[in-house]
Parts: sequence; structure tokens; C-alpha cells
Amino acid sequence: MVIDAMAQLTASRGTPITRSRINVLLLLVAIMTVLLGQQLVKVQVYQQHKGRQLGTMAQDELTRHEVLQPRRGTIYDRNGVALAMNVNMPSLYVDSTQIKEPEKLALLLAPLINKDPAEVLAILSDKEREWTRLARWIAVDTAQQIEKLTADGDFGAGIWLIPEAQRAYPQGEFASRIVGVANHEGVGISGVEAYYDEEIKGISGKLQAERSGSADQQPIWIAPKEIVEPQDGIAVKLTIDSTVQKLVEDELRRVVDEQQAEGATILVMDPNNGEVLGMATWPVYDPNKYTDYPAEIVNRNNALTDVYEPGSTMKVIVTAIGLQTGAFTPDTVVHDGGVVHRYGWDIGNWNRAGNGPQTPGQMLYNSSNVAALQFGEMIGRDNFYKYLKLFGYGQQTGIDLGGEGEGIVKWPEDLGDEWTDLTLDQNSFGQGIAVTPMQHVAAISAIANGGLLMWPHVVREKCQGAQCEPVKPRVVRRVLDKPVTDAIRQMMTTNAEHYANLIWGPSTGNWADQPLVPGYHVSAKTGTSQIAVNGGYDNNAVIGSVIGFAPSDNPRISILVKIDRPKKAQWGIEAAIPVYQRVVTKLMSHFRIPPDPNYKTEGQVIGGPQ
Amino acid sequence: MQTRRWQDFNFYLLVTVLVLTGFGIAMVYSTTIGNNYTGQVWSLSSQFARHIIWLAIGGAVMLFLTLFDYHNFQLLAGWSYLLMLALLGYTLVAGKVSMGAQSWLVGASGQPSEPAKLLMIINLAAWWASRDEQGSSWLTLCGSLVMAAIPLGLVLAQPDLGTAMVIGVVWLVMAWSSSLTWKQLAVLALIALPLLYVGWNDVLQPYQRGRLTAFMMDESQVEQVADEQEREAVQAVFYNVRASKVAVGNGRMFGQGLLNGTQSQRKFLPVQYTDFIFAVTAEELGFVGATGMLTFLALVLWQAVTVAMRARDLFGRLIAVGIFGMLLIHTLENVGMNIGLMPVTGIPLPFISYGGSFTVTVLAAMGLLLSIDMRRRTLVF
Repeated sequence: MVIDAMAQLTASRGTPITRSRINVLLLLVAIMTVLLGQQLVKVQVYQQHKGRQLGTMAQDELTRHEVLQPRRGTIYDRNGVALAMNVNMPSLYVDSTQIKEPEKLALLLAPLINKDPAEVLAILSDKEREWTRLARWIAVDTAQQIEKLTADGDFGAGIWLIPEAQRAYPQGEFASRIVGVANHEGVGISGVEAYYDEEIKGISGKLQAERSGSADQQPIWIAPKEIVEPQDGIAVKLTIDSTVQKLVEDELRRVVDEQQAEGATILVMDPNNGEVLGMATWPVYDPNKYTDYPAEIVNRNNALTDVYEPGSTMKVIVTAIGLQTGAFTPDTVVHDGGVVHRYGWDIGNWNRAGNGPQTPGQMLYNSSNVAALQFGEMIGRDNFYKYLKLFGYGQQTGIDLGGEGEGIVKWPEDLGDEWTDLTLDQNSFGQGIAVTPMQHVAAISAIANGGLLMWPHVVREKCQGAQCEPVKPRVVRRVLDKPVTDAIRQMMTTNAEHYANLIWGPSTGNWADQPLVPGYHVSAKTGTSQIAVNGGYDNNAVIGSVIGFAPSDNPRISILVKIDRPKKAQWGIEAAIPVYQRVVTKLMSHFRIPPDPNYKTEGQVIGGPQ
Repeated sequence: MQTRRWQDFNFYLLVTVLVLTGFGIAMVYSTTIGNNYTGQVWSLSSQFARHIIWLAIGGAVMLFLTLFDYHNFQLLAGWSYLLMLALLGYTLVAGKVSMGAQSWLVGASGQPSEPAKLLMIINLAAWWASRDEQGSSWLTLCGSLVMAAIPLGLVLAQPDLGTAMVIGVVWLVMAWSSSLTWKQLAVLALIALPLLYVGWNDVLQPYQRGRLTAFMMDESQVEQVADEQEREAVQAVFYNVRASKVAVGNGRMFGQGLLNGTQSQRKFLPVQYTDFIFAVTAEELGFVGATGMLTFLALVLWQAVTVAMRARDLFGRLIAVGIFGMLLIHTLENVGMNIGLMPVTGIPLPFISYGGSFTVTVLAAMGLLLSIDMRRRTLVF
């Protein structure tokens, strides 16, 4: 029994698997283990993957770099009125992978965001698009409609309204030519926005964080490893005084309207420090809708870019050069016979009538071309052009706005043999030379302030948070000596009185010379410029302009009024002088300059005519 | 006649299985916890809870089969074969397309092809055991081939290439162990190789071939695939494999720590609780953890061979060998595709992957092994 049991115990039924076949099975296990183990060593220990480190690849996949946008700096006028600022407006984003019923949603959304339903549907039904901006900067009430629409219907979780900073210009057209505009990508493309873009836009920050890889979750920002906060752009305070700006813009509109002029520019500057107080040019545009306007309106500031022949206004500069160089004195007399013959040409006054003997002051008063020509010849070529250069003609003023023109001066050294003495004669009464309004105001300011050419600028202060740094006025150079400017201011004051009857004659019946702006001695010189076209002159149109400053003895403002192709005023100056008169009258009051109550004639009203 | 001896109980195998199950619990927890946003991981509806329930069911099945005399299955051979065909047939007809194959039943999360594998092993073992005297005859061989070919065809029709591969390997290992002669092997190879060639070139769709070869492609090769549909299929697999390799590589020597694998937890990895669970293990537990898991899987295989070696009869031996083959190919294929060594076919990793039917099937197989090993001696009192 025991033996049987033992036999039963050890015996096995059926054919056994031979040891060698078992060994093959075990060998399979060994091979598998070696194969997998070897690959694991390769992947985990040596990290090999086509020349890259797998661990690094994992980090790269995980890590997201995000640019943190800085806020664009605000632009204020000199009194703190915001002219350009940021507002957060909702933008509509969709994650098409999570949208349900795209057809219905597209039909409902499209009219709200002014898009073609087919176009919207194409985006919504593209299941590969995880993040698309359907509409940017939606109006608040539209955003509410979209919110209601998504709350009422079941369109999935893929619709987002996300606030995005939009550049806004709360004053609209006001001062737009100076402030300029930043495009939809936040890049300044004109005006202060463009010139100071680098500083206003700020410095981007960055965020390095880990993200989630799943498509069914929102990207999760986990464990930010490195955050460099963006540095917001600086805020700038302009030199522009909104009261002055408003005034010149209103006057600009009025004169363009009354004269049906093609364009106009009014520039007001503080002659003592070069700060531009007001600058208006026609046409205007609304930077909030800048894409609706032609690029040449948005991108240009005509006060800086346009060049024109200064005409008789140039005679002031000629007088200054002559007195400064000692070529003549205020008492030097030349003869004006109405027409003079030079180099085969007859050159005459506007009416070809002679004025007899002329001092420099009388030359300005009568605006005598013949006299100016002779004074110019007295100065001589070398000093004449040396001083034009010192005054800044033919060069950019360096104002802190882009797109500035240089003007056109026929420099003898550049033209060589082609330069003729006739050029000097023409230049003496403001022909054959072209200036920008900005250049001209800067030059006249040098006369106003006692002889210093100041750097014109429009930004007064730059602020990073509460820390503000003033922009210091810069003297470009001394051009004239004080006695010279005193003499010229005297002449220009007399000049201004000569223009007054145009304003006051109709109301007082007095057609003699009288104060132009009662209560204040002011300086002015007019000019009627012919418009150069195709090598000749346009006979049907002129540019009427006035340059000057006020008050004459201690100028607070220098001013240029320029009206392009006025339809009603034959000489242009009849259009420009009233503008000058109104602007100066109001500014004297705005700057609280006490009037001299005795400086007026019968019938004149200080602050008038009303 | 008492055939059961507790002294012969294979505690070694049981402990190994428990260790692997522990690995599985940890990894399923790690890969499914993120899917429950509000922390109801312990609620019965969570994937983790369901995994635990399936483990409990599997444990009960394992215990039952340990106690149950496996010889009874020899008596049920024909019926169980029909049951297997029914399962696979039902899958084919009523199954829905999921993950590219019709293996997931409508309404119930069960994959009938998993228990079908075990039923096929039992039936093949019964076939060879019943023809022990003519073990190496052509008739026996052809019979077994037909028995394997029918389920193989049903599986291929789904098409489930992964399960087909398992059936093929299981049959080969069992045939090898039931005295397949070298001559038979050579003849079979001569017939099979042209068949495989034709199958690869003419039966498989280009996108299927692309999926199978994507794991060894370069990015530039993927971009060059001309057909758009095919390229998308290849791309999907290519990026899955790459994501998996990146996760494995990111584990480095000691791993990122359980629940801390960035590639896994942030869902860079696809189907990570089943197909790519090994990559999660490698990322979170590192080379040390991954090789540790592999070691225990190898120990199970070694135990299966041991059980086969000392089983009392041919039926038991062949069941053990079949289970060995099934675990071998599952492990090799799953781990291999996770580390860029094998084509991606989407078959789960034994003991580790989430999935009810497979978990229960594997534990049932362990029950069979324990039952066979415990009855290796005949006791007569």
C-alpha cells in the first residue's frame, strides 16, 4: 500500500514536457526581460531619443512661455486731461473643440459681431481650432447679448468673453494730429504714439509655467517657475494746453468752413521754452476709427510735413539777418521804384507800385519786394545763407514727432555753379524757398524771445507711476542779439497796427492804423504765398499766412496761421488776419495778461470785437 | 480520492500576484484620480473604485478556481468552446466601435475577448490531452490549428490585431509544449510565411499597416505619408509612442514619485490607465520601479513554467503553458509598445492595467495555476 501510494504520489500521467522544451520557454522569458530591460536602460538611464534628451523633451512639453503684455502709457495734456488711454473691452474667443450645435450658434452670433454666418460657421465647426478670437473689443451691450445667448442655449463650454486692453481716445478728433494713433496691435503709428512708442508701450514681461496636456481641460497654469512682471509704459504729459488747442481747432474749423479752404494750420508755441501749446491742421480725423481714414491723413501732421513758400513773412527774417550782421541798420534807406531789373528779369511789388525811400521797418510795413531784395543783396550771399541755416531752415527742427519735413533751401554750397544771384533776390522776399510751419514758428520764436532758437517739443513730462521726469527745454543756439530782436519787435508791432483796419474798420469807421488787439501790443507779419506747381506757380490760388507773437514786449506765445487756397480771400491774408486776431485776443485773456487800458482807439473794445 | 494538498499550495506565486496587484492598485489610482475633479475617488462610480471591485471579484474567482478541481474543465471542454465562440461572436455582432475595435460591449464595460482567451487555452489543452497517444500526429496538430483558427478569424474580423497576436502566440507555445516536431514546425512555417506576407500586403489596410509600423518611424517619415487618412492614423500612433517614451524617459532613475509624473498627471499621455499604464509607472517610479515591476512579471512567468513542469497531467501542464504564453505576449507587447519596441496594438498589462474583464481573466488564470500546482500529486489514503 505504501509503495503504491508512493508510486501514485510521484507518477505523473501523460507525456511530460521535456526539459529542453521547458528551457526554451524559460529562454523566452529571459529574452523578453533582457530586451525590455535594455530598452528601459536606453530610455530611462541614457535618455536617448534621436539625439535629444527625453527628460528635456518632457520639460519642454510641459513648460509654456507666455508673454505678459504691459499696459500702454496714458497720454495727457499739460493739465492732466487724458487724450489717449486704455480701456478693457470684451473680446469673443471660441474653443471650437467644445462647441455644440455650431450651425445654430453661427447664425445667432454672426449678426452680433458683424460677420458672415458662413465664415463664423467655418471657424466653429473646425474641430482642430482650440482658441480663436472671433471678435475683438465688442461693445458692452453686445457682449451682454452674447452672454445671454450662451446662457440660454446649450452650446458647450467653448465660448469666452475675455477683457482685452483697447487703446481709446476719449477726446476723439481733438488734438489727434499730435497724439497720433496706436494701431490694433498696440504699435504707435503716428504722432506722439509713434515717436514715443518704445517708452509708451512698456516692456513685456514673461511667465514660465507648467501646463496641462489634456484637451478636455482648460490650460492649467501650475507652479509658475519664473515671472518677470511686465513694466507698464510711461505716461506722457504733453505741452499741449487743451484750452489753447480747443481754441485753435475751433478757429481752424471756422476758417476752413468760411473760406472753403483746402487746408489750414494754426500753430501756437511758447517762444521762451519751445513748448508747443496748440497745433491744429486740417483735415482732422478720429483716432478711434483711424482705419476709416486715408493713411496720409492718419500718418501725417501737416504742420510738420508740409512745405510752402513763406512769401512776405520771410522779410522779417531777412531784416533780422541784416541787422544782426550789420549789413544795414534800422535807418538804412533803399529806393523802391515798384519794379527793379535784375539778371534779365523784372521783379516788382505785389501791385508794381513804388513806395519811394524805404527803411527796413517801412519795407516790412509796405511789404515791399523791391526793398527786401535790395536789403538781401546788402546782406550778401554768405551771411544770408549762413543765417538761414542758423535759423534752422532747410533742416528738421528735431521736434519730438515723426515725419518732419526739412523744407527746401537752395544752398549755394550744394548747388555750386547752378546757384545764381537771382536766387538770393527771390529768397529775400520769400520766394524760391520752402519752409515747414514748425520751422517758421521756431524761427519767429527766436525773434520773440530775444534771439535764442529753442527746440520745439510736445512732451513736457514723462511719468513712470508717480515718478515724473520733466523734459527740459533746450536752446539749440543763439541766433540774434537782444538789440536786434528789440528793433524787429518794434517794427512788427507797427506792422500789426497796419492790419487792424481790416478787423476794426467796419465797426469803428476808422480805417487808419490802430491797435490790432486792443490792450496789447502784438507783433505780426503777413504773407501771401504763391503755390509752386510743376516748376511754375498756380495763378488761381494762394496761401495766406500770418506769423507773429504776443505781447510784443514780453512774448508769451508765438503763432502761425496758414490758410491754404482760401476761396473768398483773394490774397489770403484777409482770411488769416482775423484768425490771428481772435486767437491772440483770447489767449491774452487765457494767460491772464493784464491789458494796457490806454492802448486802444475810439470804438475799440478790449477782448473784442465780440 | 483527495487530490488537494495545502502543503503544495504555491505561496510564492500568490505573493508575487499580490505584489503585482498592489502595483496595479497604485498605478490605477494615480492615473484615474485626476479624472475625478471633485475628489469622489472613493465613490462607487469612480474608475478606481470599480477597479477595486473587479479585483475583489477576480480574487473570489481565483479562490474558487484554486479550490475547484481543474479536471472538471476537461469534461466541459466542448461546451466551453461553444461559450467562447458565443462570446466572440456576440462581440463581433453587437459590439460597438471603441478604440478602433469592436471589443467593448454596448451597455456593459466588458471585453468578452479576454475570458475567451482563457477558454481557448482550456479547450486546446483538453484537445491535446485527449490525444496524448497521437500527440505529434498531423491530425492532432491540424485539429488544434482549426480550434485556434476559428476564434482567430472572429477576432481578426473585429479587427483586433492585439488579441489575434495573443491567440497565435498562445497556440504556438502550447503546440511547442505538446511535442510539436521540428518537421511540423518547418512545414507550418513554410505555409504560414506566405500567408502572413499576403495578409500584411493585401488584407491589412494601409492605415493599419501604418499604425503597426509607426513606432519605428521618424517624424520626417510620418510627414511623408502621402494619403491623408493614413497619415493621420500614423501620426496619432507616432505621437502616442513619442509621448509614452518621453514619459518613460522623464522617470529617469528613481522616478518623479507616485502621483507626481508630469507627463502622466497633466494628460500628455493617452489612454494611460490601460494601454500606457507602464509609461506612467516608469515615469512615476523610475527605472528602479519599472524594472521592479518587470521582475515580478518575470517571476509570475517563471512560476507558470514551474507549474507546467511539475503538473500531474498533460491537461494541467498545457493549461499552465497556455497561461504562460498569454501573460508573456501581453507583457512583452504592452511594455514593448510603451517604450517604443513593439507596434501599438492596445492590449493591457496583466495585473496593472485598468479593466474589469481582463483583471478577472488574469486572476482566474492565476487560480487555475494555483489549482494545478496544488493538485500536482495524487494522494491515496
